[in-house]
Amino acid sequence: MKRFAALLLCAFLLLAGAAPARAMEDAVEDLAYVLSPDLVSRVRQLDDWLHNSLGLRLHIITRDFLGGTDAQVYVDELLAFKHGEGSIIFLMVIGEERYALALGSKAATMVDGNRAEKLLNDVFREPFLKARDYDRALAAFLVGLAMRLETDNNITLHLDPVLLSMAGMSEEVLAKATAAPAEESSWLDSIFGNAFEMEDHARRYEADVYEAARPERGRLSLFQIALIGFILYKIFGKKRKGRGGCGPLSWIFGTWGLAKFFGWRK
Amino acid sequence: MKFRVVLAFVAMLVLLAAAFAIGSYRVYLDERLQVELALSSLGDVLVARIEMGHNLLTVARRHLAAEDSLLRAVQEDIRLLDQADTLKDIASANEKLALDSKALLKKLEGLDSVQQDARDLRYVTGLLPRGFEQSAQWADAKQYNAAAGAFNQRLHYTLNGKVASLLGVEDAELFGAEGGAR
Repeated sequence: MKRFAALLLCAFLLLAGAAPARAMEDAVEDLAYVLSPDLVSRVRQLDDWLHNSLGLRLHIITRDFLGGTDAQVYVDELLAFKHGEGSIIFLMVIGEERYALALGSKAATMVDGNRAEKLLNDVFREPFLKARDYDRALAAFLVGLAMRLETDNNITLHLDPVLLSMAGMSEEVLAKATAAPAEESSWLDSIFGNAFEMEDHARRYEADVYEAARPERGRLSLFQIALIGFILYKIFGKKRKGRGGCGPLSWIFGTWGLAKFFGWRK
Repeated sequence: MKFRVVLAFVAMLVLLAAAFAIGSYRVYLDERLQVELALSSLGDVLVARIEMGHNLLTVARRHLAAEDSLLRAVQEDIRLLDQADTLKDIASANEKLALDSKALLKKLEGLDSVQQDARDLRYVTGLLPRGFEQSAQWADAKQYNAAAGAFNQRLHYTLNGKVASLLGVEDAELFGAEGGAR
């Protein structure tokens, strides 16, 4: 029974530990709240398809600011530390009007970086910067990217008509829902380079200040008093041949009392 | 016999005093290190202020000329906050950034170009002031100054503090105007 309970606990802890990792691997992290839920669900579908057919993973991030960090450096670091070889990371920094793409080593063999940049210039840049139609900009880029992958890898892809419509490639009219806050995200995530790290620093600062504000009195501990008493007994204590007694104790208690008298005791 | 008792008593006092002095020095040195650690953590949190300054400049540059005095002032504050060596300079840059960023946000809010830009208006009236407020809350130097001030008080007004001070434990440095006033 105990073994079963331990196993259950282990399984629970493993699942709990895996939860943030799963969240991190989510295809869309819309921290700036600019993407419609329709597009987000289509991107997730596209990500599933890319993963199942080509082993690639999409990771789209929107943020308001990066706090002075270069967008390309940010995605490159993200790719290096948190994502795998098949990752395609695309970052849109809304408040800074910048964007950046990073490809994992496996993804780079399937998606030509120069072609991807050209695609961004051709279909993404204008709606992103001028019209500020972030849905259309992203949908157009992803549709273009998916078509390129389809051609280059000789696979058949049935693109979602809603995604095509969002990309401005079909006549279907859509009623757009408003962007919803991403789960478990905070507005801080969207404006600081690394809000998690900042919050961690702030917590540490608070803890350090709390510790610094707690005075440790420089008084003698019981151990120090006992040690002094024992040393004194060893030097000055009367030798009692053949008798027991509490010789060292009287010295220790004497030191203890004297320390109290001078206010040196803890 | 009597001499031996007196000698033992004096030895006890000397040992107690030595233990007390060593204990005081050790404890106050530890406390001083803890205050320094808090100061170093404050430095880490101040990065949030620099990041917010960069965010504000990004928006401001879209609406103001590069020579604008407030824009340049914020730029200079960020540079100082990032590169200053002394605690006094860092604190002064942080205080100046708080004032200049507030003034710049107000100026931006009054611009027609910002009023006509829904996104930037949202940043100028919502996200950026909140971000500055949050970063100021994180980097609240008052907490540090209270801890450092209390340490200095103990160092100067308690017996063991005085002993530690005599043995070479120094005052903790205070941060900002509060520190300069002391």
